Amino acid sequence: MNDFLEQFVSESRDLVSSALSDLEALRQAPSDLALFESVFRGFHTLKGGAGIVEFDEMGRLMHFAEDMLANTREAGNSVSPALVLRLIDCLDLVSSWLDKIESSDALPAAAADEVRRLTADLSIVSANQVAPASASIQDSDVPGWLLDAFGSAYRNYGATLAVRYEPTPDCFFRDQDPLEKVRELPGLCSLRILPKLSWPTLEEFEPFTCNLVICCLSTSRPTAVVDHLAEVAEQIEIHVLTSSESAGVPISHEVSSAILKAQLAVLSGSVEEGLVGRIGSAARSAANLLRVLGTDRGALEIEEIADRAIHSRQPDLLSHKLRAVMAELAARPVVHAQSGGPAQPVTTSLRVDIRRVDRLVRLTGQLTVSKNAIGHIAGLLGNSSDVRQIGEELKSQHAALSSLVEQLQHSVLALRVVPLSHVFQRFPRVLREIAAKLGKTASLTTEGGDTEADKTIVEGLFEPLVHVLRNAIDHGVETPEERAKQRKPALASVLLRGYREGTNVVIEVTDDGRGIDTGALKRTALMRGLLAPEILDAMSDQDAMEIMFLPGLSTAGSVTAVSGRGVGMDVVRGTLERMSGSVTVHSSMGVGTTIRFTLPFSVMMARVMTVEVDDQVFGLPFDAIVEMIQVPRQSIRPVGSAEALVFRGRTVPIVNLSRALGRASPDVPSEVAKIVVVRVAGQLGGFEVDRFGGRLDLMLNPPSGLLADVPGVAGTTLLGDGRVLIVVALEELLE
Amino acid sequence: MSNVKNILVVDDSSIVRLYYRDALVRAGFHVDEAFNGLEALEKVLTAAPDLIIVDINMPKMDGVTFLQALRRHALPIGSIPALVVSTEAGEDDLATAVAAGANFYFVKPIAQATLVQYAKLFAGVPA
Repeated sequence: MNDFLEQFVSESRDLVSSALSDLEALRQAPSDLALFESVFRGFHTLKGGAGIVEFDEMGRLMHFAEDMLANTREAGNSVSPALVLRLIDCLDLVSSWLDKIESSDALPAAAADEVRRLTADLSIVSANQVAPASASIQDSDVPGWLLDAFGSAYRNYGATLAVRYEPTPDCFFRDQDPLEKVRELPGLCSLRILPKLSWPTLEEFEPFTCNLVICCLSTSRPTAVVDHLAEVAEQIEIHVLTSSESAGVPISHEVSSAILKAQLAVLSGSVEEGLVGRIGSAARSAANLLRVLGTDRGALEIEEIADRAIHSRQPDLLSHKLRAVMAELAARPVVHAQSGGPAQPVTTSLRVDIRRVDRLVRLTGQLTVSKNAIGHIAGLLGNSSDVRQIGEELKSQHAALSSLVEQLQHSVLALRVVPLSHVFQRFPRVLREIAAKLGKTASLTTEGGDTEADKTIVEGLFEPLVHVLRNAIDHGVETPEERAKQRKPALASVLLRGYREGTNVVIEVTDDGRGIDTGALKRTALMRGLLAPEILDAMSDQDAMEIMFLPGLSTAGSVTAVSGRGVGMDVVRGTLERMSGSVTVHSSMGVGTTIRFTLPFSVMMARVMTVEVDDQVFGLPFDAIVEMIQVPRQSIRPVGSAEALVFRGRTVPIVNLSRALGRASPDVPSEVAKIVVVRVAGQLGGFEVDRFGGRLDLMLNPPSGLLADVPGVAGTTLLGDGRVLIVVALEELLE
Repeated sequence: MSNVKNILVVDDSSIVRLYYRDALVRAGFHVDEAFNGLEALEKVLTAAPDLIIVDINMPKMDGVTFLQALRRHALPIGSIPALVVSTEAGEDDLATAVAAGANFYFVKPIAQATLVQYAKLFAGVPA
C-alpha cells in the first residue's frame, strides 16, 4: 500500500470512528445541531478522501449519506433513530472496505452492489423523514418556499436575496402585471412560477384570476428590490440570504479537488504533440487555484516543478506534486459556513501535533547549547592543566546531555503515538457480526479510546481483541433464556476499555456472562492429557485460568463457526508477547470475565540482556528471560536431531545461538555451557551463548536493508563502542 | 500593471457569448470574444488572454482542434488555461477534450455563478 492510500485509510478510520460516536450521541440528542454538523462534516470529509483516491463507490455512498443529512436539515427535522441506524450501516460498510483496501489496495468487487443496497435503504428512510415538511422552520433558517421552488440549488446563483411574490387573485383588475414587475426586478437571476392552488379543470378555469406564486432570486441589494416592489409590498416576502447561504459556492474541497483531478487528466495524455503546452496549462491552472486558496508558496512550488517537468518532458513530476497538494488540501479541516462551532481538527497518525514538533525543536536547541559547552571544555583541555576541574565540567555536561537525549527519545517516540480508537472503532461492527452469527445479542461499550499507544501496538491489537471478543460472546454470554433465569438483563454487555497504567497501556475486555468454569478447564486439560492429574489437583482457581493459554484447548461444548477455528488463547498470548505485552484473565462464575492485555506504551523501547557469541554482541529481550545458568556440557543431551536439557524437572530444548543465527559454531565446545533460559509463548527454551553480558535499555530500530530478510532479527541498535547490537526475535529462532 | 484578467470566450452562438460576457464582466473580468477556433487562434496570438473558455462544436475550427493547436504553441501561449463548455456530455467527448489539453470540462448549460467561480479559480482571482 502506498503512502497515499495508507494516509487515506488511516484518516478514514479516524473519521468513521468519530462519526460513529457522534451518531451514537445524536441518537440520544437528535436535535443537537453541533453534533449534526460534526456528523455531516465527517461524511463530507470521507467523501472528499474517497474522491482523491478515486474510490467512486465510496464517494457515492458518502455523497448519498450527506444528501440524506442535508435533506433532514433543510426540512428542519431532527434526525430519526432509523436514519441513524442506516448511517451507521454506511459507516460499517466503509469500515469493511477500509479493511479490504488495506489488504488489497482496492474496494471489494461487490462494492457497487453494496452501495445500491444501502442507498436504496437510505432513500426509504429519508423519504419517510422529509414528509412532515417545513413546519418548524425558524426565522434564521431558509424558508420552505425557497426550498420548494429551487431546492438546494438556490445557492448556486450567488443571489443575495430571495423574493416570494404572491399576487392577489384579482391583481389583473388592479392594473398590476406581476410578470412585467418580475421581469424588471433588479438583479434578477432566477425565477420559478408555481401555481398557488392546484390547477382547476378546464371547465372551472378562470383565466382572470391569478393563481400564481412567483419565486425569484436576485443579486441586488435589498433596498433596490424593496423599492421596486413597493406598490405590491403586501404581496411580497423577502428573505435576505446570509453570506453562507448565498456564497453557496465556497471553494469547497470538491471544487478544488475536481480542478486538480482535471489537471491530472490533462497530464496523463500520451500524445507527444502539445505536451509542453499541456504541462504548462495544468501547472498554471493548479498554481492559480492555490493562489486563490491563499497558498502562494504552494503555487510557486508547482511552477518550479512544472519548469522541471517541461524541460525533462516528464509530466509525472507534476502529477506527483498535484497529488500531494490534493492530499494536503483534503487534510485541511472543512469549514461549513453554517456550522455551529469552530471546525474541529481531525487527527490522524500521519499528522503530528505541532506541540510535539515544537518540543523537538526546543530540545534540538538545548542539545546545541550542550554541544557548544563540550567544545568549550575541549578548548580548556588544551590550555589548562587542572584536569580535575575539566573532569567536573565534563561530568556535569554529560548529565545535562543524557537528560536531553532521554527527553529527545521520548519526544521522538511520541510522534509515533496514535489513539486506541484507531482499533476500537472497528469493534462495534465486529461484535454485531459475531453476535448475529451466534444468535446472541450484546451491546458493546468502549471507553478510553483516546488513550494513546505506539502505532505498532495499536495496530497489532486488532487480531487478539477479535479473538477475545469472540470468546466473550461465544463462551461467555449466555443465551437469553439462561440470562433470564439468572435475572440478568436480556442484553448482555461487553466493555472494551483502554487506559494508561504507569508506562504501560492496559486494554480490557469485560463481559457480564457466565464466567469461566475452572473445573471444566481442569477436566478438559485432563481429558486432553495436557497436564498431569496431580498438578491439576494442586492448582488454585487463578492458576487454573492459565490452562486457557495451553495450546490445543477449547472449553466450548461444541466447535462453532465463530470461535472454534483452532486459534486459541495461546495464540493471543503469543501475539502479545511479540509486542512485549502480557495477558491475564480474571473471572467470577456467574458474574463475568475480564481479559486484560498489558502492553508497553511503546514497543520501540527495549530492555535487553546482552550476550556474546563469536565476539558478536546480541541482545535477548529481557522480559522473556527466566534464568541464566551454567551447566556441565554432558548434561545437554541429544534428542533426535536437536539437544535438550533437563531444567527443574522439565525438558528444555537448547538452541546454540551461534548456529541458529547461521554462524559457525566453535570448533572446541567449552566444558561448561552457558545457557539463557527463556519463556516464549508459554514454552521454555534455552540458548547457548559464549558469554553473558549485562542489562541494557535501548531504542530499537526495526531491521532494515539486508537484515530485514534475516529470520530471527527483531531489530538493531548502535552500541556505545560503535558495534551494532542485534536484538534476537526469540520466537522465530525457537521454531 | 493592471490586475484585470482577460478572458477569451470562444463560441459560435452569440447568445451564449453574451451570457458568458455578462457574468464575467460583472465579475470584473475583461472579456474578448471569438466565434470559432480559427478566429480564437488569431486573437490568442495578438493578445494572449489569461483564460480561454471554449465550445467544442464550432464551424471552421472546432474546440478540440483549437486546443491541440494552442498547446503546440511555445510558452507562455501554449500554457494558457482553457475551460471547455460543451453540449456534448459523453465520456468520449470529455476524454478527447482533456487529451487535447482542456483544463476543465463543463456540460452546458452552465450557471453564471458557476462559470464565474471557476473562471476566478483558473485565472487566479481571489473570490
